[in-house]
Amino acid sequence: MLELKNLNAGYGSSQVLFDLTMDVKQNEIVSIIGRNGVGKTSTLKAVMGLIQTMSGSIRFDSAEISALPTYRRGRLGMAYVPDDRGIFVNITTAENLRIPLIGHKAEKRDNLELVFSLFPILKERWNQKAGTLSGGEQQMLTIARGLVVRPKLLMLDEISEGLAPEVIMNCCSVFNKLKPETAILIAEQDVRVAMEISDRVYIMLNGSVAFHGTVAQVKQGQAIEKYIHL
Amino acid sequence: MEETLFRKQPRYPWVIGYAVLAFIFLALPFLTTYDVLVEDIIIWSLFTMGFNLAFGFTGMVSLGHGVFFGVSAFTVGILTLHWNRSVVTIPIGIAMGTLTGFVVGYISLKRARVDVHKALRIAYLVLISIAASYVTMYIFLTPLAKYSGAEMGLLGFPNHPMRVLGNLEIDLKSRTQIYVIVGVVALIVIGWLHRIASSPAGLIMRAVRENEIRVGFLGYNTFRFKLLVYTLTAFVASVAGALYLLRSGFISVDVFDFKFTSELVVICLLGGRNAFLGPMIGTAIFLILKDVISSYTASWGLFLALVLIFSVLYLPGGIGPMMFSLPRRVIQRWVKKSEIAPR
Repeated sequence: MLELKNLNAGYGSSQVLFDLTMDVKQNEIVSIIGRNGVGKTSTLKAVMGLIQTMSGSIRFDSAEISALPTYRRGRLGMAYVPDDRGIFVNITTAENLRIPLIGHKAEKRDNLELVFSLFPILKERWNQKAGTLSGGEQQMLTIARGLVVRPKLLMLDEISEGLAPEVIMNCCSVFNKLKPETAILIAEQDVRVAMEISDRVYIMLNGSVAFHGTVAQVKQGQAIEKYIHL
Repeated sequence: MEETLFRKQPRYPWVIGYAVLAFIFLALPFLTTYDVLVEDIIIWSLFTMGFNLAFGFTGMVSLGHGVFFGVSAFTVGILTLHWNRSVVTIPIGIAMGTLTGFVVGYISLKRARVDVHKALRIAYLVLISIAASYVTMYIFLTPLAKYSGAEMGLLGFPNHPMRVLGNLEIDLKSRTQIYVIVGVVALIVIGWLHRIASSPAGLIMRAVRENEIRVGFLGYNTFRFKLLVYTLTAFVASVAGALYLLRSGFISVDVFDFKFTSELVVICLLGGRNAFLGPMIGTAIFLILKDVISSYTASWGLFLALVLIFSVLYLPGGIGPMMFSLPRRVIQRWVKKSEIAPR
């Protein structure tokens, strides 16, 4: 599904990702964990084309995408949920969910129902300006906006931020249900949450992968102690 | 289910609004002695409402729309005087204005990609539109001076009727004919703009204004979208330019000056840039104030400055939206009082 190979990327001239190699397969939830500033968010941004690829390759659905502009990647079926609650605050909840759906008509109904079953509160806030939603609700809306088009790959940055534990667990069970259609890549600071929901985990250190494996392997190898609680 | 979820706004307020507009555009000029002012308001409203689609809705600050207005008006005028006295010149003029808009938009948006800081992106647009203003000013003052009338402006336009088809002619000196043409065209274009503003495209415009990057990763090519909106507004400016020439029979190079377009920004801010009808209310207030105050004193600019300071401090949303919300608030307060009173 998604393959990063020897990826070097950065903001302008300052490089933040070094020789990064990573992959997400169909039917998989993968988490990237690591401390602050190791390049978790930058990895997602590089995949989405929001930061420049210097060298290396990004393949999505076995097509090279590292030279494509962001909007083309979006159209290929990637959805990105940024950590800064990337909603449009001056328009309503409904309009926020409308924007990604313009042009896709077929399964609109099911997708919205899925979103409502996951976040029933959004239905109550339907005609309210998104800027007036609480922090947690905005986070839900951001995730909903990513989910509503049923992307092939959903990338989430810090889902645990601002959400109540039961909402997170609820999300996870839905992600598990969606897995066959939507592979999921999560950048997460909360190790416990990441270990709970993922099939595989990448631990990043200084812009590249320090360790990767299944959750069991990570636990066995004491990788968390080694690379995160330094 | 989606019908109820993404339900359309009820239609009747718009129908009433449109009926009121139709009255103002088609009947009012014949009912008042201030017909010249009313016609000015109509043409300028069309111009500013188009401009506001770029400025207020999409967040593109341009000072180049006077250029498109002027290119269109001059093209129609020059071609009519020197080439062909028929309405065929009007679509050519509008096409020239629109094309100029496309070129200016392309140059200024090309480098303003999402990774460029927002303030810089706006600066690019402003600077390139100022450049366009200087370039067209030069073109019409120097190489085309013989045709454009240079500082004097285009003279002699309305002296001959314009041929439409066969023996059918537009008499440029007949107020009735011109007012009907201006009113009908303005109504059609404004209706069309309203459709666009309330369509999904209007939603994307507002989203682009807020955060272009996010719109990008939702799968939209924001460069093309913005260029399309810019060209569309240039088209509306060109239509307004052509109508202005038909109505007044005169156009001068002053319209190329970016100060002329900066008045549009003022009007949009005054009337309310987030509301579709805001610029029209802004235009009416602006032109009426200008007319009234200029007849008393030469320092009209000073009054404008006061109005602007007041509206920035107390009406950041503009006067337009306030005109609708204020009566509602007064009524609500009055209803509340009468509910409390009996106790």
